[in-house]
Amino acid sequence: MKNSFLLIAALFITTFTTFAQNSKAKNTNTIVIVHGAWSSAGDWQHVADDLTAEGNSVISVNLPGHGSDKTAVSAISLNLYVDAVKKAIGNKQNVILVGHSFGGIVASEVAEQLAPQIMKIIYIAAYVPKSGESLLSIAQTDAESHVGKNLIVDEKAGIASIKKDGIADVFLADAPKQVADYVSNNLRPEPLAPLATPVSLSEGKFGKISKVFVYCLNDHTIGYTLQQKMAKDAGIERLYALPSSHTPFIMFPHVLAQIIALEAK
Amino acid sequence: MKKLKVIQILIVALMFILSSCSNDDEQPLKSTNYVLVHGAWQAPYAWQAVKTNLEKQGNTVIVVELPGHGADQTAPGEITLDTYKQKVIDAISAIDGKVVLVGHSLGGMIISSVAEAVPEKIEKLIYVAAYLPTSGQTLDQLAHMDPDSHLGVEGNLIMHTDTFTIDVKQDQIVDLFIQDGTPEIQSLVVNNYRTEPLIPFINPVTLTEQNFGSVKKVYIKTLQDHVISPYLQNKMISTTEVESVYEINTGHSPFLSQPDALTSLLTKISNN
Repeated sequence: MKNSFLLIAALFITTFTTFAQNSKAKNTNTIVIVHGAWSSAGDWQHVADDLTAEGNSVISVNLPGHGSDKTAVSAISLNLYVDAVKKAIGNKQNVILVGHSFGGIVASEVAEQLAPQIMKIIYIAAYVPKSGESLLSIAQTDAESHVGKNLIVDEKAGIASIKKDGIADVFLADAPKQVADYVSNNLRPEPLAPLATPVSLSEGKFGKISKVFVYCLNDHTIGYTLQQKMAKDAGIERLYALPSSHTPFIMFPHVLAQIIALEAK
Repeated sequence: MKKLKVIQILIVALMFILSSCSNDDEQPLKSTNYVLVHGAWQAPYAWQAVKTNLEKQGNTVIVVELPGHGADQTAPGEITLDTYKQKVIDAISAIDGKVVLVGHSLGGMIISSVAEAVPEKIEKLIYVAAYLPTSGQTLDQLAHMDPDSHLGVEGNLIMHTDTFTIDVKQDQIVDLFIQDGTPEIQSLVVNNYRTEPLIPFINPVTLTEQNFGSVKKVYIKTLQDHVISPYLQNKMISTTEVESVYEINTGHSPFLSQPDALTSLLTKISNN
């Protein structure tokens, strides 16, 4: 079997079938998606559409300074991200927070601050911090990651970039060339400060929220070993594993949507 | 004359039984509690012949019907590997004492996670042409380490996103599961075919040395298997500590193609 059969099946549906729009009974839960670094809400469009078609209410938050948002780098902080997600949640109850990559850091801090409103956190190849940790402090322990050798930090401008010829390998080694090329040509530099900002979490709030982890097995951004360690340290027992690069929303949008839908019930 | 011969045979048999009793090495067959877990795209019907055989020998046998299989109507979108695990644990909990837990194919993933959860209830795990994972592995991951499997032939697997299930191509069912069965048995498999919930294929198992590692394991290899090839079976056996390995010269479903031979093996293993 040269490729994972899931991958073959995923290509099959992407190419030949459209998602059946069978609206199911609407439930009262709200799924809130928090994208990662060097990403934006747009990357989650297919997953969000699938979830909406299944009758879920979905908010895909676009963090300041990402996608088409023009907030200046100097104005951006982890708090600003957290506030953007909190604002999107408002007074909604039964929220399922979905965090991808760096979005796991943001989602964890939001969950701490809005604990009574959060039903569950779903980490998708995401950082699961302990109190006092930042993305950078965790990422430094990751011997399998390809980010280190491709990272360009511009401290003066307050941004971090990935070498252009390393982007496909780091984020989406399993994607078709035209998709990889498009992403490589359109990646925006990432504001640096939030990546170095530690979170403040408590056992009584964050610690008590039910958590799920979706592993990406062929991830060059966050190594599988670190993913497993973070899930284990956080006591996460509900686990999924996709034969995917760091960006499962590109090659496995339907599978990912189904996992989120199942966990959001 | 005929009667005399029967009596002679009975005497010989009786002597044999008596001598067995006096010999510590040869215990009479004990009664065993078997719990059998079927695989993907199958259901309890597949184990009926082996169940009947084992019951005739005085054993108790439960064939678990996995959620979303056979007559069970659980929606595939609600099923995870944990759902299967819980169903098997419920079946085992209803039994007084330890069980011999047998898993076929996908069933191997399930019996492994059951052994992790309730090691004290398990006398032995028997993997029949089954996935034997290490901690953190998924079925999907193991399956794509198998270049000889016919599952990997392009087009043989079809995924449906609306129902969240996965099918094998209709005209490949016989080749995959029962190429060595009689036409009647092949029809039985085709007629009982049901689409398979997909999510459990991507749920990793979490296994530890203290729990899963403490339970005795036996593997029965199927030498003509088109789903889990002997190559992958050997690989899995070499990765996880297995007490003993047996072989049966069948395709993926020995309980259908050679139920008597499989029954003998199961009995032998349970009495070892």
